[in-house]
Amino acid sequence: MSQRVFVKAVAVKQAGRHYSKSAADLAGEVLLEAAMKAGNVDLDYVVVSSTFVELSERQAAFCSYLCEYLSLEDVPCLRVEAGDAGLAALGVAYRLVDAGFRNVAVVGVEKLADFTTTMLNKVLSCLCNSTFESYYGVVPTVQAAFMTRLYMERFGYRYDDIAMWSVRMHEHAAENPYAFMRRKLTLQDILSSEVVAEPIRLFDVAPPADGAACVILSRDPSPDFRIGVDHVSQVSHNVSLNLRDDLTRLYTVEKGRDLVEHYKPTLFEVSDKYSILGILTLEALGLAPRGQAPKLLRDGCFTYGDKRCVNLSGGLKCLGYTGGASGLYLFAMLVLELLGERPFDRAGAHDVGLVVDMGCVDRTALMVVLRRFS
Amino acid sequence: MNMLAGIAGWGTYIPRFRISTREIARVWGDDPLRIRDLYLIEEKSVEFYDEDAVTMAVNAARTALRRAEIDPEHIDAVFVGTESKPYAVKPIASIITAALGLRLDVQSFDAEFACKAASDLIICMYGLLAARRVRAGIVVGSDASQGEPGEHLDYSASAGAVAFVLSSDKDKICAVIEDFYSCSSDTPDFWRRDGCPYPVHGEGFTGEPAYFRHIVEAARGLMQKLGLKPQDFDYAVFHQPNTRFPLRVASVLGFPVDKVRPGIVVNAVGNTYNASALLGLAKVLDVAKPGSRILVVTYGSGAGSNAFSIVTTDNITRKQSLAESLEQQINDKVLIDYSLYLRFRRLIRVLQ
Amino acid sequence: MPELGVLPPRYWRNVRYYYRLEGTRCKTCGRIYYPPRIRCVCGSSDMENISLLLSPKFVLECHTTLHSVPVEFEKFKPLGFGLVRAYLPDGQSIRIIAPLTDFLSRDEYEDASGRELEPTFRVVMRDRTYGLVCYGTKFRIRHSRV
Ligand SMILES: [Zn+2]
Repeated sequence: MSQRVFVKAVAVKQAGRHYSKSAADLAGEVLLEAAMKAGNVDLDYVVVSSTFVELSERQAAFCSYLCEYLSLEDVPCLRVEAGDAGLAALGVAYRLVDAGFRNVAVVGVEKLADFTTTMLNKVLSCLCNSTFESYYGVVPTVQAAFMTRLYMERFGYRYDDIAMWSVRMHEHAAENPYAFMRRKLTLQDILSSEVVAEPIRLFDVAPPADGAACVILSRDPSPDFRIGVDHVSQVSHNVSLNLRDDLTRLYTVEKGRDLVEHYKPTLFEVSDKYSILGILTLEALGLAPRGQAPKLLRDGCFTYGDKRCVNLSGGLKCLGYTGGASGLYLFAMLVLELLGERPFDRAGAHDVGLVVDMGCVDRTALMVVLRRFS
Repeated sequence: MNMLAGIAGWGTYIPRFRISTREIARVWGDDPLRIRDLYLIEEKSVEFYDEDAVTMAVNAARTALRRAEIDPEHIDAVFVGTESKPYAVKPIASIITAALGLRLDVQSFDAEFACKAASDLIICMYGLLAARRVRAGIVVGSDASQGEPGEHLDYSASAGAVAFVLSSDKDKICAVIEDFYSCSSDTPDFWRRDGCPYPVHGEGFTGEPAYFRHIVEAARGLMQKLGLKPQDFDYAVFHQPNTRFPLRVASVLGFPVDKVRPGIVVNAVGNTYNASALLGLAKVLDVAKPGSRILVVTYGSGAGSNAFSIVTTDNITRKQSLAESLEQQINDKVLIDYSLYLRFRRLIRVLQ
Repeated sequence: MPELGVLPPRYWRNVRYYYRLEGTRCKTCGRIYYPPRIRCVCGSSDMENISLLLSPKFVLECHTTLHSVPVEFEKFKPLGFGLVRAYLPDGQSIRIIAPLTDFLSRDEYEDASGRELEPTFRVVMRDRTYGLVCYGTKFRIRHSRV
């Protein structure tokens, strides 16, 4: 066994409007649940991922107050932030375990439902350049709108073709008990939803929500939880969108193509904060040729029955967008899929999966390869 | 001729949006034909919700600087005349220095004398140029003026800006300021108390003892000083609260209507207050031939007038081609209804 | 003193970007940057400021209209944004993300790609009733020509 870091437990809280819970409540619940599943191991480190906790809870040193809340009085803790790429925290945890810490908890948490829509937009605009973009009201949706329009123009697609991503995600989520949005949607539902930033409509946007998810990484393989971490890497492209030659490419995710070729994953959980990012991720990873992803989606690829399945969870589109926790949701879903938990058992046995988490719009990507061992 | 100072460049800014007086009359139950007959105003400009006296001043000043062909580094002063500052305290002029990238050692300030301040500042700048304390300076008149909805002013109070780069460099000057003549008196025809959102006025009292008395006095004083008669001028431009007043004051002074009409802007854009008569001057400069003599008489309530005699030079023709004309800006328009008018002018009561 | 949404020093030091669209140019290799950088990809730190407003021509390459806006822009909605290419006097060009103004509905920008724009100085937002009025550079479709 070449792996040196194992997944000992995962726990997720269904994203939603948890008005009665604080960030510490949500994070605490999933952390305790994961720790219990891991056999109440002693935690050697707690790594927190939250993009907006200062803004939502007006709390610095959230990791420390969280640990106090859980009576983890002497556990070292920190928060890792790389935009809304929550798996950056997992990357740090991975290296802590690799460096000798036995059990490390990664907990992602976000409280977005406390905000009104326009206040939330202000919070999300922090992901854009504050002086050159957010100052004028730019939010990530604007960047995704440019990408969507340019992609449609370049490859001759209509909006219906882009909406296929959302249709597919809702199909997948209908049976996923962890999904925030579990309603099946028709193409017509999507076409009649409100325009947020043309051509992007409401159903192209992963719905912001409260949520928390926890993963415990360990040096010890768990006898009944047979998932190892084969690979964790981060790829960044620290270049503003306006300076890029091609807005129909994901410069960060493209680097994952080597991982696909090397590890040959058959299950994928990828960040789809906007439909276009899901579509472009399929192309960036080489799962679809350039300009072909919407066509392949329409032809029924990447779902149950195909040799490579993408976002059987319903993606962030249906799990909900929980900022720095989002990536941990994708990670946890892939673990459940590899373990063949219901309803993912329909996909049959898969051994290797890839999680792709994204920070901002293509400024950084975290890629994690998970393997089920026997 | 006295070549101490003159205009090196001019720039105008009129918001793209307009409302017709017919539409205003519809909302307030007035007879649109009577309203038209009263003011002879077809449409007036309306600032978009992201415009104010500052933004229009900057846009006009940029155009003026482009026409002047003077490096921003060589501007020594910026003066702004306005009565609709978005900040009660904090100048517009200093924002212009930043937007135009001027030096730190620039003199800048705003002045208020109802609709007359910008023309007062031309006189100030003239003095500094003549005294060789300034090589080139910018004077701006900018207003997004207030008028109480449903009241007379609602039909005329509009938005616009005009800017002039004044210089003492005769190679740059395209219109020489030949001379000027001022008058003022304590005449309460129109005012706005501190903290009040809208001005009030004396209706008919704004006419004879106010507008007409001061404009006639200033114009006659200037012509007498220079030994000139109406026939010595190619154009006559007067302050324009409506179209009737300038036409009538022209006839009182003995100017034929065809010398006044080229400088009329109020019929198409309304009363732009500090920009009013000076926009008329800009409109004339857009078309004037070299050697044209222009009478400009501004008026500000409270009350006073400045009369100027301005003579174009051979440079005028080339300067005309360096930026778009006021006529083009007037024709570049989108008509809106009264509900958008209320939104754009931020007259709908909101929390933020 | 009430709470300010816009901190005066932050606004003040950014005015050159807001008012004059300043970017940077590498004196070694000539690359231009907006947002500005203090170090070029070529490795040189010898950078100069340039105002993109000196560009004689701006062309709209892509646009969107944002209907769900950040809270301080609620009364400015919808917000228009464009990918705008600025053609500098030296023949170089650079693309920027810029706000669009002077439009009443999103329909006005249908088929607007490829059209020439002109910069215009505008209010970006007003900080409450007592805070700073924040100005900046927006673009609108150019109608008339000189
Ligand atoms: Zn360089």
